[in-house]
Amino acid sequence: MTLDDHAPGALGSVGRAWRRPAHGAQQAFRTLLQAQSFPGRVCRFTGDAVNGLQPPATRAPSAVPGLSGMPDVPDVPDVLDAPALPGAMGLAQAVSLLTLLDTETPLHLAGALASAAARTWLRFHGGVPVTAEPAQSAYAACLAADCLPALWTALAGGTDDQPQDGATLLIDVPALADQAPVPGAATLRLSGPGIRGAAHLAVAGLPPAFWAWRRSLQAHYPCGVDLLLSCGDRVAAIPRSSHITWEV
Amino acid sequence: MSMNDTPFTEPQDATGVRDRQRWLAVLAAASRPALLAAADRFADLNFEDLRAPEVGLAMVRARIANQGDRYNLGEATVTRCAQRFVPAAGGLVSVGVGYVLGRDPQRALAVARLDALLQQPDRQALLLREVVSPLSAETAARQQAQSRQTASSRVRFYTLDQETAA
Repeated sequence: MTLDDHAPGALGSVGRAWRRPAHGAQQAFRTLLQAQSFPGRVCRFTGDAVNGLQPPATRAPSAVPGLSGMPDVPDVPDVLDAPALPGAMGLAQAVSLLTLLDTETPLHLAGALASAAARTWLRFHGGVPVTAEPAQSAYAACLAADCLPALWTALAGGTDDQPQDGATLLIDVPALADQAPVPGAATLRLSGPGIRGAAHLAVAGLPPAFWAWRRSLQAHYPCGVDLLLSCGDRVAAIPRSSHITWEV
Repeated sequence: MSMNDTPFTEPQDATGVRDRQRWLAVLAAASRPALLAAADRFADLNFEDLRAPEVGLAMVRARIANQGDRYNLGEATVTRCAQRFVPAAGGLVSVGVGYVLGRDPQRALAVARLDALLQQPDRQALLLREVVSPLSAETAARQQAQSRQTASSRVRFYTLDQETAA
C-alpha cells in the first residue's frame, strides 16, 4: 500500500478497526463459519469481533433504511464502545468484509456503500482492492435498497470447472429474524446441507424478483452466488447449496 | 477537505513526498535510544492508534548488480504502526506511519508519531532542526565509523581481480 492510494487527508478521518486485531478477526471468522454452516440461522458478532470497530460512513446517510419496525432489536453489546454513526456501514457488514477480504479479493461496493470513506477504510485496514465492475468482483456489498437486477445479474457465478469463482453478495437488510415472521418481510423456507428439515428466515427489504433470481440459480449448482445477509450486529448466510421457497 | 486546508497532511506534490520520504528514512534508520528520546519529548500529546504497532513479514526483492530479473532474496521482519495526531487547539489532523526493520513496536510507534508531527506546518521546522538533522548526522557518523572499521580489514584478491578483468 502506498500513500498515493488515498485522497488528500483521507486518513485523517478513517475509522479504527478491531481493538485486538487477532482476536477480532478470529472471533468474527468463527461467527461467519457458524452462519455458513447453518444456513438461515441468525448469528451475532459479539466481544472482540466488534470491540473498537468503527464502520466507515456511506455515501448517502438519508438512504439508509431506518431500523424502526424491527421486531427483534438486539441489545448493543456492552463492549461496543464505538457505536455506529448514523449513515455508517452496518456493523455486521463491516465486520464481515474486514474478516473475509484481503488483497486478493476484489470487492464491488454498490449504491450508498460506494463511498470514499468505505474505500479508504477497507483499503487501509484490509488492503482490499475495490472495483467498479461487479462482474470482476469476488465479493459485492450493498444495502437492500441498492440491490438491483443490474447488480445481481452481473455477478460471477463461476463455471462447472471452477465453481469457487462464484461471487459472494453481502446485503445489509432492514430486518432479519429466524424465530418469528416479520410484518412486511419475505419469509424464506430453506432446505439443503446444514439444515435438519427446514429453516425459516424473515428478510425485509428485498424484492420478490431478487428471490426469483436466487431460486433460478439453484438449477446451475455448483455454480451460483453465496448470500450473506446482515442487519445491525447480526448475520445470516444463504449459501448456494440451500434451496429456497418464499412467501411475502 | 481540500488541498488548501491540508498543506502537509498528505503531500501530493513531488517535493512534499520527497521531504516526507527523506525524514521517514532518517527516522527508520536512527539509533534506538536517540529515536525514543526524541519521541519521548512529545509523549504527552494527543495521539490515537489508527493501527497499533504490529509485526509482520515483508518480502525483500533484489537484482544482481542492479541488472536482470528481480528475485526474492528473503523475508524480513518489519514492524509497522499508524498514529493519528489531533492537535489540542484544533487545526488539521495528521496521520503518521512508521515502518522499521525488525521486531520493535516502540521504534515503529516513535517513527509514526514523529511523522505525524512533522506533517504539522507549525511544528515542522522545529522538528526538522532539532530531531531529524541530529538523527541524520548521528546515523551518518555511525555508518562512517562502521565502514572505516570494515575497510581496515579489507582483503584484496588481486588474482581474482585480474581474472575477472580479462
